[in-house]
Amino acid sequence: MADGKVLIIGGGVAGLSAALGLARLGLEVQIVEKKSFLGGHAIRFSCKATDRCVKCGACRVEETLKNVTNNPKIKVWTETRVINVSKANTFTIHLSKRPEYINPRKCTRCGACFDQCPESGALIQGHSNYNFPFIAIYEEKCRFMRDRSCCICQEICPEAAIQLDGNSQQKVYLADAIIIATGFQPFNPESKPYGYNSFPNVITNLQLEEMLKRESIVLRPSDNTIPKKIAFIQCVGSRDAKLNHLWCSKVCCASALRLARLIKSRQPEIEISFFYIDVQTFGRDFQAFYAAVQNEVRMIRNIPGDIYQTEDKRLQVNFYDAALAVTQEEIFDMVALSIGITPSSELNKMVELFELRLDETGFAFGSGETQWFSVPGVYTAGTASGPMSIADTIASASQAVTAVAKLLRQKAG
Amino acid sequence: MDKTILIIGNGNCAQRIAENLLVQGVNVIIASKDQHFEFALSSAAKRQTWGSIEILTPTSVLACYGFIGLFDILFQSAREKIRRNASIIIIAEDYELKPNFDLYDLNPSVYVWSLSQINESVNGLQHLKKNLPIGSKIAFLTGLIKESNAVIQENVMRTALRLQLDLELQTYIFTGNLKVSGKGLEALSRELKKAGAVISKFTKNIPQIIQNRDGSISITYLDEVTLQHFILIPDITVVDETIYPSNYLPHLADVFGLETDLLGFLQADNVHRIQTHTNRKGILAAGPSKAVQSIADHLSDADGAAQTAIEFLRGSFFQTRYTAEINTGMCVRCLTCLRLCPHHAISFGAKLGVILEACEGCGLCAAECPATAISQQHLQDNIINQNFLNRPKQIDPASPSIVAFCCGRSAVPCAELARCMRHKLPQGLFIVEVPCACSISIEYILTAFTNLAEGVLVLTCHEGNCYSEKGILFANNRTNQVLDFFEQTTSSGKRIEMHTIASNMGTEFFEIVNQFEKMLIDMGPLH
Repeated sequence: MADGKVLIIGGGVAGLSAALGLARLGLEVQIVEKKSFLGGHAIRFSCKATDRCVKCGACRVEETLKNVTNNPKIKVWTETRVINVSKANTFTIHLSKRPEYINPRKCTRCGACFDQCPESGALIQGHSNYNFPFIAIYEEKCRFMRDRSCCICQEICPEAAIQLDGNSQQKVYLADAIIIATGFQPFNPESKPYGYNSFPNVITNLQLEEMLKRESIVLRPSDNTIPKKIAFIQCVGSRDAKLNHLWCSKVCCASALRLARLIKSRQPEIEISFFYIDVQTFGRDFQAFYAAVQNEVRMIRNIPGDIYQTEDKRLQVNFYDAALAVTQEEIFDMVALSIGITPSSELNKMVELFELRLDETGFAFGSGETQWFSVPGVYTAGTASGPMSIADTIASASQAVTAVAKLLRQKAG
Repeated sequence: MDKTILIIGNGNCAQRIAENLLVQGVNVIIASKDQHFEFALSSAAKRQTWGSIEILTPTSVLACYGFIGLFDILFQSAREKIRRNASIIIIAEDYELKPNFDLYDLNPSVYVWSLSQINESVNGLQHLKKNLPIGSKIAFLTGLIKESNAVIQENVMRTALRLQLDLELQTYIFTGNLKVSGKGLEALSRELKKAGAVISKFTKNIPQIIQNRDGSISITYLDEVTLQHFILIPDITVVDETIYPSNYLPHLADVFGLETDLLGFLQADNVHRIQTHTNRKGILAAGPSKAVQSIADHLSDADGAAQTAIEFLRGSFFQTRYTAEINTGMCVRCLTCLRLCPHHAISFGAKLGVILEACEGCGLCAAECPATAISQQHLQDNIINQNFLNRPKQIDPASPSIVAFCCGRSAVPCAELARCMRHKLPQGLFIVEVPCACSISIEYILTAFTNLAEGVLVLTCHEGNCYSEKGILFANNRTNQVLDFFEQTTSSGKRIEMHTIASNMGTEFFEIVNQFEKMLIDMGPLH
């Protein structure tokens, strides 16, 4: 195996899995992540096991992050962006890292800063034990960043781990290959007539995942009571010709139905309705899963037209009932929108920096697609190249690793 | 380590694995049971080949001895028995397609075809072009009685599109759920509709399909959108197919001691086996031998399998901390360990021994050995003796001493996550990290009680998520045995509980331990 250095852009499941694969082949790996925490969207996901594991893969993300953290071959820079790239024999990448406000080597996760911060949202918490540091500063909300009017956290930190007036750092990294693992952008459902962001009890499936991970049960956001009726609406921003989103997001049927069964197992009194176009096959035991879910969840083959809020913050969902050929109005306490996987805006930057090519849907080509190999040394992994499950993402990372390994072997002669 | 890798299979996936390995300078043996072997290396792979290649065909595997790094495989060829060594074995045998005639209660005839049949260029498409007038009706039955999948339905849609556009036939697709969860499939389904195909989906009342005496078909159905009844007499009805594992796989599973999923593919339904791992270290299942998936996924598996194999060759996986050891002086050769080991890590010769290379350190053998001849030194010395027995012991009725035996893969990170989330865990909680719940012997549990624990928790992975597959089963059995023992000897209540948990369930961990503490406080002290 040849030596080499690889830069991975993005610290979600794809980037982490690719990093592990490369490090195990003996290569030096650098991950850059623009956010404060590694793990991407999936590290926020809840375990969906009921009486047994349902293979959602969420725990694999935790495990992968742990292995990356413990691997000496992998260096991680969070809160870092790629500024510029030049290519000669190797890539020269200019990176900019935000000031390290909280020193991960000093922070003991006591949470004093979090408790004392007067500005809600200015300090954010990680999602995994393997997020270092576990607490980060959200610059847009922090009062010190705005007008230097507050530095309570810095003063009270018992470990003196917080330094609010640090400088950002510029770094240069030389790499033989690049893996673009910038992930996806969850569809913003504000443009849909479902009242997202106006009605507190309309949330996304990602928010529901986070809620279940944090609280272990479902509570209605407006008043923290247990909802009696929940509606799941599928394909919000996927399979939508009006938006020109001519793709299925692939993971939402699995995720939503597993969440629905998880909720039924913990709060059986909640009635769940599931609005869908087609239920996609997932898992090795789909036939049995689908049969079981039909007993627990009311399945309605229609995507509701719109949602209104009642005076007591409940939600009136309007949909067409095909069996009766009439439009129904039904009241729910909570609605979960399964929002689609859409191309990340980061991809446009990657197009500029690396001459990355995108397909007609706006996603990048995968490392397994031969058309892709037009820029030698630049590969993609994960949802940068389209919707995928956690398992698919791990597989796509292995394709990127194989492509890199081949390239380096060629280079070595 | 010998750098030879054995690939069993004869298809695109096997071929791609071989290419990936040869390019990396690894020697490859390909064994196929097929007589006709079509294996063409791409020119790029030929040019750069560092590894050597040997092709054994037609051969079937008779037996496999040894372990990762030193497998010893016996083949039967047409004339003789062949023996080869390999470090790693990768199985990538193609799957089989079987038409669902029985499912729809139809007999194949000139009116009823299978999906593969229609896709054959000479007998299928060319035949249709010659014999069917433009506008003839072709009905596809797919996923109506049993759910289909995106692999089959992509094939259905591509076939229908070709008939619709190239042959100018009128196609109808009757399905339950249209499966579009693959790259480009939603766009394909729209292209198909735009081309004039009719896609009818059925939720409850599936169409009535009747085969007449002459073999022709009539389909009566209620359209769910318009609520109108229709009768269709197609010129040809195409029945979809189901993907089955190769009929060679049960034999391979038997020879190699591999777990299978419900359908018989060579990978248990367990997230720890992602991407191509099996229950045996050094034996990988890829592509069409692993699961029902698309061709793109098969090729991705080929990359993943080759990569994992190279990782193995580099020795990245020989790091099990907890390997077990058999004390041959105490061993009574009852073979319990040999029978139970989920990873086939017990060698059976003049004396029984643990194969360190294959051992995953789950500790099942040590916990189950009736002669207590097997020990896991790391667990016993570092965790039980030093760490656990030396723990600070205070008797405080307000915070009873709780010993939680926690699986290192799930419950331990989960406890750490709970602390990170700043859930307040009981003061008397002491966590004993074990490699797998199956290593928690009754002896360990009783030791906890004799060492002043007021209660014991056994926290294990969910069923179907155990790295050693059966951890939860043994943990459950032993917990119940200790419970029975308590019921017979004391009346001090249920002081031992088992729960399943995953590494990302910090809040649930907190709920379990806190409820348990409350219960112990209510019960009052044991000691």
